[in-house]
Amino acid sequence: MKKQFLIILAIVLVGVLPFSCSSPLNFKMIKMGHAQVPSHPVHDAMVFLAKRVEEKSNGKLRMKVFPNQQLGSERELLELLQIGSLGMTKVSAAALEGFAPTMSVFGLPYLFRDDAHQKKVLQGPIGKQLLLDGEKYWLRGLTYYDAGKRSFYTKDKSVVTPSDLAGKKVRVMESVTASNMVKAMGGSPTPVSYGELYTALQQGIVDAAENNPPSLYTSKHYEVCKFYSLDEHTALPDVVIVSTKVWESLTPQEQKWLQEAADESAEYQYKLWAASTEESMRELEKAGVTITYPDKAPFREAVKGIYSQLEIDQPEIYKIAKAIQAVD
Amino acid sequence: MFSLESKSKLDSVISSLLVVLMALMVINVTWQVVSRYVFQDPSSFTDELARYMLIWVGMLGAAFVAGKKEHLAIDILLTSLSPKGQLKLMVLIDICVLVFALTVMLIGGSNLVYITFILGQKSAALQIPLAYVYGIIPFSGLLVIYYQAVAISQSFQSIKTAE
Repeated sequence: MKKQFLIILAIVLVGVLPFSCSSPLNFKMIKMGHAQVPSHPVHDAMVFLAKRVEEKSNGKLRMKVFPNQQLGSERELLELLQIGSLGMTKVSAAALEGFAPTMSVFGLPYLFRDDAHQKKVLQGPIGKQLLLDGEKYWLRGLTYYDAGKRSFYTKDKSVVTPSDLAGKKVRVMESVTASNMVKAMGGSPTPVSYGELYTALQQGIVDAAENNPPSLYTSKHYEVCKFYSLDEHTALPDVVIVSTKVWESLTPQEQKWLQEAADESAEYQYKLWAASTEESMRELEKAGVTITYPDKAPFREAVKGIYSQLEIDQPEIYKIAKAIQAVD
Repeated sequence: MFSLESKSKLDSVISSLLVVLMALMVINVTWQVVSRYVFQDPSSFTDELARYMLIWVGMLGAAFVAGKKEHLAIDILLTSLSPKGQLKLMVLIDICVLVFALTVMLIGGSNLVYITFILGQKSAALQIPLAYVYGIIPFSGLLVIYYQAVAISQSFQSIKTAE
């Protein structure tokens, strides 16, 4: 008798469990996951975004930020957004290439003339259009974050002209555009995942890699690569994305709050990023890294072929690239 | 359809498929090493191909092993029961596995494949639609369901003959 009672009790308790969490809430909660460490400026910007959303909505709309790949890598986070299990995320434009093809335009080398040009494009109609293009893939872009400019770092000597890359194995992200760029400059592109890069550099599987200053600093790759040559070949922005399922479940007023908060956080993030870049450069110099500023003209010249090839292979992307370069 | 003969036919098909996949994987990885160290021109697609083939071998292999009843299990309860009790417990376990394969692998997996297919997500290096890669999940789920159904019908027959 007693045993039976215990079994029934256990069943009832387990049955009640799902309801215990769904007591009516008077606010909406959006979960946001990203792949960076909490000390990264991007995390601060997203915490700022969460705070602003809550302030604007008087607590009716709230956000919870999960850093450190807790909810998955960038590709997995995007899939979770499409399925609708996750509300928002921040990924590199490179990770979006496989999902929203037009985003691959940002992977093109020397697409922007300078910082001002980049900011103008991203905040202008072309940038807005590219964000909204994601809607077709159930990924609505909200705003861009600055992710700096990527440059080569090498083990043995500085890269002054593209010919210094000849015969060097250069680690690239898993992206066709990045591979083509390194090939055009004369190096052999080798895809290595970011987590394995430190050992790959140490063991000589690759001789060089490329990234922005804060990433070079936080990844500690500078312990192996003592030469950082700021040729600034690509400027891939980060993109803050909301799942269209979540976006459509919000009232127009809530959508407005979220968009405004995202725009404000972008402004804030640009400042954080600039400070972080400056600090990283200082620390890199302190750690004994030789920093050089090569003339960009020969590098620009070397990658010209990529644009003419793009015109044949992907005329749509080429059209966007031309439109971006026409912005003054 | 749920007889032991048709099961063993399916077994041999899957095992040869697994052997072929495994062999392709070895060739692929060898090519990766050779192109990197001998030709000094690393191939860009081998890494991704190896990863997707590993997923296929893993998922297919899991279904195959489910049919062979060789998955890791804690049998402390099973061994302490009478032979008839063991059969009944096996039926219960098989039903649980079947329900999991149906809801998570077949229904959930099909949903995932459907979403990645209509949204056209492509892989970074090979540029193949990821829906093809994910297709192994519902397929493997289907196999597990079949194997569990065979096992359940076998258990029922044994219970009947024991009576």
